[in-house]
Amino acid sequence: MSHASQFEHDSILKTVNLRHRAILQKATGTYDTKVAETKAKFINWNHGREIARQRKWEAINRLDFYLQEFERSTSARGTIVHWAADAARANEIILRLCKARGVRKLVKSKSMVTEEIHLNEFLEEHAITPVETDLGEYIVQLRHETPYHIVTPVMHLTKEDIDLTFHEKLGTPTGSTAEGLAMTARRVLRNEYLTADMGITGANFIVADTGMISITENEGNARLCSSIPRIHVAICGIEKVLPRLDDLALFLPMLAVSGTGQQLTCYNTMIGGPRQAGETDGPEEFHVILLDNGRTNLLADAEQREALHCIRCGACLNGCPIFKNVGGHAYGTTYQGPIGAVITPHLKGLGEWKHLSFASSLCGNCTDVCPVHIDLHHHLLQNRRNAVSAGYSSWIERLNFRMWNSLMQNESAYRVAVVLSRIAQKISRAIGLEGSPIDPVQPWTDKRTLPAIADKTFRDWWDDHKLKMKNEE
Amino acid sequence: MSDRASILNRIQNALRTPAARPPEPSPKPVFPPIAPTDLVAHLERELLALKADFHFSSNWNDARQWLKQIADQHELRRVVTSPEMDAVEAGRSLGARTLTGDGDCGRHLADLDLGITTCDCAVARTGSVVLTPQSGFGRALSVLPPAHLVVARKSQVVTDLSDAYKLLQARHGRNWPSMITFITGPSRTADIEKILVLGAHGPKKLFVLLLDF
Repeated sequence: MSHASQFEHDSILKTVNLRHRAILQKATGTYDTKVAETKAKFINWNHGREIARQRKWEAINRLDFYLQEFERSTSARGTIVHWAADAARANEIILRLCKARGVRKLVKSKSMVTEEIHLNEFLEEHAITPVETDLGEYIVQLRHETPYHIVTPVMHLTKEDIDLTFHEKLGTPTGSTAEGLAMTARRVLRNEYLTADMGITGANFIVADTGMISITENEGNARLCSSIPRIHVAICGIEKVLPRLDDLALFLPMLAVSGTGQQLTCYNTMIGGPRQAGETDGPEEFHVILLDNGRTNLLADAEQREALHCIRCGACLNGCPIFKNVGGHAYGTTYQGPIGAVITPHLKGLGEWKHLSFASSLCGNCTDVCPVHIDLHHHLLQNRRNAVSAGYSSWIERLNFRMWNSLMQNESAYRVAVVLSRIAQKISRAIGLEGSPIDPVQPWTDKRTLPAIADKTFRDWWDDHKLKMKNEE
Repeated sequence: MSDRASILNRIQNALRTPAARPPEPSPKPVFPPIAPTDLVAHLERELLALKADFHFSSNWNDARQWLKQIADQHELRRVVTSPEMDAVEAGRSLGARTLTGDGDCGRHLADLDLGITTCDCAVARTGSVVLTPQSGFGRALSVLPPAHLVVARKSQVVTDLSDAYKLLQARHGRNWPSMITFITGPSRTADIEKILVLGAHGPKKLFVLLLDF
């Protein structure tokens, strides 16, 4: 099945699933309330967005300079910087390192980039055990699923679902509270930190001037992954750059507010090297892998380049009417929602992934809630335009639009079409054709009821009305 | 061509076509001001909202009483402290063992009830304490034990994150430590149905003792 048909199939299943919808509505509702509360602590949220947009513009439009500055300053403290053009290279770098250092088990904190390169499957094929330590990701790993949402991996599950998963996989008794479940994960994973040979984390930001990565989290698992094992590897997309350390003073709160409705997440940790002389603990080695994997394709498109400003907060997912209906898994991508629809065609091919940009009401809420003010809904439109001009549309679609185009430019043809449609609709309704399997426009009428076409067009009414007014004078 | 060269090459080629620059934002403040006299109260409010414990002391006698009280309440028996003066003094009333940094940090801190550290500064706006491997005595002491006590001085309280970064720059800018962490409340998760649970992987309890004398 093509990605587009799969998407259509899965979206229909999710859209009619009322239990799924109720879970999602509860989660996004709680999120909305918290975001509104914390945004109120800013005197000028929108102003913060514009500053953030400017900073990211500066970083992305001098990306080569800032990446090299990062490399220079972090290497001075003993960090080993690797560059990976694609997923295969990134996986290979990690595998080589594991083999050279005798790593059999590693602990991981939440990282969407490692999902993007399918690191876990790759390591398992090579007999290395990756253990996810973020609670949500741990549940996802136990269930052999993919994360449902870039920030909230198990947004689609209830407490009872997770209780059952733990019962089946860990043998715990059923009937736990959310706290009980979290404490089970804490107990099980504690031992993993202490016995793992390597910790792998992502990075929310790469700070160029001081040569640090910055990790945002709530649980403390990323801190443990980067404190206890003897090797720490951070893998990050090249677009994560910020020019200066002080930029974090704005970006950390913006990410927290938009991500989870917190003023600041519990732990924001900047790491700029392995254990230094005079420090009492910390990993002996610190590696940073800078990953391209299609990001430079997006960079080359000046019109859509700003999609690389994204800080992966998930606000556009939570605010998207499509996401709220079809859910995260239907997208079939690592990055869901509007931002996923915008960037996936650049990362994985427009022909295969254009359909996501068409699955949008273009309401613009994604743009409004974006903390770095990416013009997301216009980028969806640009993807649509690019898909059509690259010839990725069906002949029937092209024919329809050609007819529509000529109709709209020819007044008398348009008038005739309106009269014919009115008659056709009446007949169709009278004989019960509308929405039936033999209806020629069934794909549309199947799920939607068109309003009845008015008996009189506005222009006819206007002409009559003018005449009437004149007569009354 | 190495991956490094090919990525940098692709970036440079891509950037030959310039992207429209967004309008310059005006230099208006993003956050409301906090009066200097309100800093400690603001810090306290934020910490309590985060479900951390806060105590303000103007002498060691008072501080020791509070420490004994929390130790009893939360059964903090196996306690270690960083060798910094304020931390050692606070640890004394809890029977804390003072760490040497010689092979007794990292994973060796797994079976404890409480770790005591100082901090580089505290941020009133967000209720955060800022630690480096110097003030936090390594990386593990403030995250591995199930409870963490931070001893800070009133003079260490700053208004905003940007003030904290200025202070860190002045103190460490020539020779950055390998880690800086902003701790904002006890460890938490809301991954399950957005229900807040404290103590996900890091400390379940965070105590902040602010000294003013």
